[in-house]
Amino acid sequence: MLSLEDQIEQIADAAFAQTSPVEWHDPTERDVSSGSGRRFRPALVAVAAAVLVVGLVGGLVALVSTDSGDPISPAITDAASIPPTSSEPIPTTTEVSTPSTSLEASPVPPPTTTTSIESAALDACSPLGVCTYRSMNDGRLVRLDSRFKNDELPAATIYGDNRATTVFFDESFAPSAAFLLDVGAGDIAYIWWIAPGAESATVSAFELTGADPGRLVRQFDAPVDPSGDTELVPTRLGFVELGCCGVEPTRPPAEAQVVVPWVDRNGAEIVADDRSVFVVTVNERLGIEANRPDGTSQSWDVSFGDVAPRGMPYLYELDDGRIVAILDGADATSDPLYLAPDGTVEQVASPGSVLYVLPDGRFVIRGPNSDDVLIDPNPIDVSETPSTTTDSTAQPPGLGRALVAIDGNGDAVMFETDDTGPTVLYDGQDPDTASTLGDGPNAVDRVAVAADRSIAYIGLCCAPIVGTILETAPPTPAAPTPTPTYGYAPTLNPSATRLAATAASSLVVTDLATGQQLTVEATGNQMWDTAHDLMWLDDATLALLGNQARMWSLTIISVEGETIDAGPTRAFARFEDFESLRFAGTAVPDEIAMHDIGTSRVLSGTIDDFGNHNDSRGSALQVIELPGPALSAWYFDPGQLIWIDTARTLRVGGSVIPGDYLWAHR
Amino acid sequence: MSDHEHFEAFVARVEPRLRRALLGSVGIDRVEDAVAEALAYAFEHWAAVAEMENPEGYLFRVGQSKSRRRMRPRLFRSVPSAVPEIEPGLVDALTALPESQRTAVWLAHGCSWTHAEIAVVLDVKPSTVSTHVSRGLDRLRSELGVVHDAQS
Repeated sequence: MLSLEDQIEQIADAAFAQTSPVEWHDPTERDVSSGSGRRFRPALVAVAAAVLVVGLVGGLVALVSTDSGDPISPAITDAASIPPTSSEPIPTTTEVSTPSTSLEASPVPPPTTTTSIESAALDACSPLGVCTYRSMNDGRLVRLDSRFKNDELPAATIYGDNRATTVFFDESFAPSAAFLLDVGAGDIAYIWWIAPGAESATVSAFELTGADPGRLVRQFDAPVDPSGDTELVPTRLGFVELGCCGVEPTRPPAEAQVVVPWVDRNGAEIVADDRSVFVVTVNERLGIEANRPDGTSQSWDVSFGDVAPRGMPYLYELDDGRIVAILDGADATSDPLYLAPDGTVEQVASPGSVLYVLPDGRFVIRGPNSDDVLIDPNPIDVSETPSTTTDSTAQPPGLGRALVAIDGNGDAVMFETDDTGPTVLYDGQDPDTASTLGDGPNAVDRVAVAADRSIAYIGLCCAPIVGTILETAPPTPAAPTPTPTYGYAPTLNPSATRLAATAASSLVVTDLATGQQLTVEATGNQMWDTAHDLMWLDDATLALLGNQARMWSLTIISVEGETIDAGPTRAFARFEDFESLRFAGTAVPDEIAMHDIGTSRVLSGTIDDFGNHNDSRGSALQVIELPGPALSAWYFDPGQLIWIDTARTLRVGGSVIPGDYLWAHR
Repeated sequence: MSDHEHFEAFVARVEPRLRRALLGSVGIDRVEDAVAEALAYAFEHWAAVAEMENPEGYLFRVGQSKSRRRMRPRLFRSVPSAVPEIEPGLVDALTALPESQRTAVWLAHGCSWTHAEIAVVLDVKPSTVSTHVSRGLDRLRSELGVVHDAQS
């Protein structure tokens, strides 16, 4: 047998052999002015996006993975076949406001008014990926990034109600690239994807809402052309393939076979009789026919310039019955056409490279820095908008531990679910001006809410003496009380049966059912001089971070019935990585995570790992790098991260919570 | 030689070494993205990178930091059948090591980096690297129940 060291070298050799070289291409050798991720045309989209993204980010470098096992990457060799992108991201006649924190549609002026654009930046797509967009049955925007670099599991993002929700897909879904085809009845997402090394693509259907979002509903058997030369076009019965490149005068052809049917939540095939479907006819002009759910049809006849669209035009039905058409032929303009129910056609200036149009009339466009932006271009009158449909099968999301935070105004807030707006639990002082010493009340320092949202504790730091703890029943805000409870760092155990808080050198655990208090005094046994932070590891075990002069101490405390025991304590020096620590949840199973506030570092280890840390001898602590310096960081099951960057932006997993925040936990 | 030609020569020299090093840190699923990120950074900051004594080490950190990792990295897309004389649990045990130990062990024994080179990328003293490597190997031996290594 080889030595352990040689075995590791053998493993490295074998693993390295399974990687592919990453090639660098001179960006000046390729025209990077074209490219769009608008329509599901996989090969085009993947390569165009890579070129576009890299090109727009400063024309720095075009990096294309040459993994020969991925049929997407090498499929396009002709840059001219990449769909064109508008060279004018925002018309000069419009004004772009600062990004709005709201993703809701704003009130809409009369159709002729086009003087302002409300915009909201969406999360950036992965650098070599492209995002595809569709809308849910209730009108919310859903997005899928073709590559999943920043998430450990493939996920889609749903934008709505001022919140972005991440839906993680079934674990069996492991694509090298994926694109959102459509969202059908029951909020079933149809996703085109290709597995690493696969020679054909697959379409799978997933639930986006309901009791088990992300569940695989059905994977369709029919292999799908992965070359990018074929589109999948929705019809009443399902998706049909439309081949390249403009040879069919009628699209989709009447005889086209359904390759992917619509399905219900049980995977059974259904007919999409609740949506309009389109047929276009290419002659001297372009005929666009909308077949509506009520059985009626309407046609418009439009000019398409010198060259007909390559495949299906991009057609989006609005809530007011109009159709937005973007022809996007080889030399056609990308200015949107509004096809009205009265038969008129109006063309408006493009607000940018349009990636998707929502039923309420808002556009997703490619922003000037290649970040996708949701805008309300305001030319659309939706005052007589029919009510949107709601999926009656959707279930309210299950309650887990509530997200709690301190916002930039110093208020204690909780979120009923990650999709809902914040509920203020205490109107705190502005942290930029509030004193943390002297007569209270002081600034909010901690928030703890029971999993059933029935009770909340707000910690004000830190006077008189140790701080003040307020109690309230959400959503009723807490009010200062003439007989406050004193304490610091109020923390509820997971089942909300026990409240722990510290008072200088003592730790007090209160049984919320009986009011019985159990106390551990640190004085005398040198466990800690001042308690700094608390974290429940489970319902009966606490971790306490304490100060001892120039040392930190970590103590494990167990609570059993009427007994409280201070277990092992480990001290470690307060320098370098350990200047300003707070607990950060559990980043690695069975380990304790601590964030060094203001830095991008989270330290993770067992209590012994912390105790054994010594810079001259090395450390078994794992250093986890956050995406950037953070004011607050917290890991929660299943390993997702809540963190607030130094610009006070709160992120939960991959989702941004609008507003500014200072601290957040779950 | 133009800057572009210099950079292309640099990529040809550095890319395989960087890819192998990052493989043990970010796993096979993210290694190509991590290398691409690092090379893009190098191109953007070429004037500075060209002057560095140890650009591989610096770019290793760039690739590592731009590839957020929260799961144990996967070393193989498919486990090869023809790796001789490997302890059956070694791959799993290696990927389960704490990150600092895994990186040190991988770079030292999987990539033949010196402890001084590893010290640069881990931002610690070389003696600390020795400790990480030693503890990592001890932990692997303990996990695998290996008492004595055969010497090659």
